[in-house]
Amino acid sequence: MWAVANLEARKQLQDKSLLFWNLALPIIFIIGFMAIFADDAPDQTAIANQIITGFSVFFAVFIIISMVISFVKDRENGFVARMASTPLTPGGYFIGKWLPFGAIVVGQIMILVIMGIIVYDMSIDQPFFYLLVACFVAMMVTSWGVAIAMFSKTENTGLALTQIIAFAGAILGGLWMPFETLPETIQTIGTFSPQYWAHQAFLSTLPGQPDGEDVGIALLILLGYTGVGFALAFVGYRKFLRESRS
Amino acid sequence: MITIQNVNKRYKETRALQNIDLSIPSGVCYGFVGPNGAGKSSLIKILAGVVKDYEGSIHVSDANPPSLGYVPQEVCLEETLSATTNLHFYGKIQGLKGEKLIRQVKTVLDDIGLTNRANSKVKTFSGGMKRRLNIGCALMHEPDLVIMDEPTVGVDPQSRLHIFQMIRSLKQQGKTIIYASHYMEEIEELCDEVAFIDGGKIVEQGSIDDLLTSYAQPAVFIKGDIPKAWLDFENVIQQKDGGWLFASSNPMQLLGKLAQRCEEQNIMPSQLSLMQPRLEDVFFTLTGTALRDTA
Repeated sequence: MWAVANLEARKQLQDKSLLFWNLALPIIFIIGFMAIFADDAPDQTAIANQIITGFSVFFAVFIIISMVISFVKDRENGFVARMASTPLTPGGYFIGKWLPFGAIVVGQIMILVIMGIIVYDMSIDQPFFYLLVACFVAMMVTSWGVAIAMFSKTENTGLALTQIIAFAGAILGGLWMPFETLPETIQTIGTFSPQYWAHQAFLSTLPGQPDGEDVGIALLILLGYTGVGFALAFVGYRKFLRESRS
Repeated sequence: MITIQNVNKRYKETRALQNIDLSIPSGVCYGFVGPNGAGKSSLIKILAGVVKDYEGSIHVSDANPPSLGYVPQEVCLEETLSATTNLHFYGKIQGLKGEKLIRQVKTVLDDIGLTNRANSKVKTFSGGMKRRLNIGCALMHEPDLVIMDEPTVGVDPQSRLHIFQMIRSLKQQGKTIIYASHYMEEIEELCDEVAFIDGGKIVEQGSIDDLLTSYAQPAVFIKGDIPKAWLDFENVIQQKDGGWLFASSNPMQLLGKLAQRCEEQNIMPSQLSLMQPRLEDVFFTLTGTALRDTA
């Protein structure tokens, strides 16, 4: 398992497209949005809180693209079949593949918040809880990444699904603008999106955020979505293994 | 000894393998030969433990189950990483660590002739170098049984020669090798025993010498402006490469006769030579020459 995790981490850290989607692009968006919306605002920090937490959740979803590409490649080039002839178990393979992606998302979220603290005077009441929320968000998006990878015939399927999930979740979950400013219908639908709860969980750890939900409830709901992701992945993994080996 | 008993494998409506019975002795190089789609890869994947849903049984009679090294038909390497990292990974998967792992990486790099490219990324390698590394990954844990599925597809002559040398070296170390290929000359050159597979069935099996003796006759090949009447001279096996192939149990005598006739009638053939029986001839004798496109 650790050998697979190590290999995957090395591979992903050399992947320039992952660095672009998961690090460069969120930084560019944050800088751009802050320049547009926070320049003349009386409370820059409040805007930074909204934008940095919102974009942290929004761009965390893009890890699914890299996950689908990686799993589909493993299936197509015979890697999964080859692993079946070694002492590595399917469980070891999946966990080994999954762990680095989870770590990358946690790293991504923490880099963005550190940038917020240094550049935009963001302050966090409970840094430990912020890290905890980052871990839960990482688990949730990567569990969906594994699930989508299991059912994706090609890399394009993953790309398309990721964009639908990312943009739909961003609009419904209030990642781009304060949730309370959204139309009531959107707000009602939005509470069913995992991105809403991820965002609310992050906001709960920041000072002076009246609309932040209780972090415990948000984490529980994220855990539920993670469970659904892994359950779907479990349903698809036999098919994935069968297709890899035939 | 590996005993394969009544193995059947089906992919939806296609019967990939039908009633396969085989015994593979330890310490030999055993070839699976047959056209594309014959069922070689299916059988290889079952033996390598990749495909588990099949009917029948496979027994290994040795006291300790042999450690297995599988070289798949696909080159499955991490192209963005170095040869060393790839070997390191496959060693770790097989439980190697510490000094032994480092030593084994060096040994395998040397065996596959990639020591001077150890730290280069695999994506910069030629097809032959990738194939050699693909084999090296399966040898990291010094397995007793090496299963290779078409390991020389698309390689340059030098890499093919190097791969052959590696396989001969493995044979000398007493490893059991199962080698699937549709290149019959490779099987003939490397293997001690062979199973012909066609349409998912074993058509024939045995030692290569026995099969050549049983199914193929030596022949004389003549090419040139030969009078038609000569075709009744002896049994004509077949027209081949623009010439004629004469089967004979005494090819030297036939060669002499044909040479004498040519001299008497002032005919200069462009080629007159002795043809040793080949595995390919045995295969065609057993299976015919019709295309297998519908298989």
